[in-house]
Amino acid sequence: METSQQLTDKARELQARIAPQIEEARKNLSDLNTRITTYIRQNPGTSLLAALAAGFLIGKIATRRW
Amino acid sequence: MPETTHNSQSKGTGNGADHRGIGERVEHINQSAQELWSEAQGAVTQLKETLDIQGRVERHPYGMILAAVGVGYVLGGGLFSSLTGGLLRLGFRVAALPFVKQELLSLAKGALQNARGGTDAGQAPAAAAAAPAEPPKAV
Repeated sequence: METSQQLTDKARELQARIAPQIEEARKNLSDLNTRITTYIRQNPGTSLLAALAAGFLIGKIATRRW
Repeated sequence: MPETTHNSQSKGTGNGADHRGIGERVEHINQSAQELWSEAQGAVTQLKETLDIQGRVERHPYGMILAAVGVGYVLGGGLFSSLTGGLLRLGFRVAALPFVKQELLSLAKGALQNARGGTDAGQAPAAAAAAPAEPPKAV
């Protein structure tokens, strides 16, 4: 009975410690997503050309014989 | 060649007609060039409207970026590479996962039911419970 209580307490403590970090990570990711989409929408040509170039490079590297 | 004939014929009338003829031709060429330019501009505008890249990027920014990466990948010659094969295999596996999951779940449920039936009835069905549990291992 005591062990289960201890386990529950530990789990609660862990959750209390981790929850803010998870929330902060979620906020950071959301912020990053907003910034990326805003940049893409503001510079569609640049973004598409950069993506095209990146894909081209990946294709070249993938076909390269090592 | 008709110009020389025209020139030789208009010798008697003087240079005024020649100048007028050249001017008309230049004007005609200019007009044609302007028409061509406006047509080209119209075609480009129509193409832009048809493709609607700006709107598409506005609506699906990540999708368009992925599509551009894909086009670049194909242009870079990566289509027939081992990486493409690996990606395709991974895609098939991910796509087949829901079906396999369903199968595994039904097998597990059957095994559980058999096991419960075995404990209720006696010891003998324990072997029967072990049998349905084997297929998931094989998968």
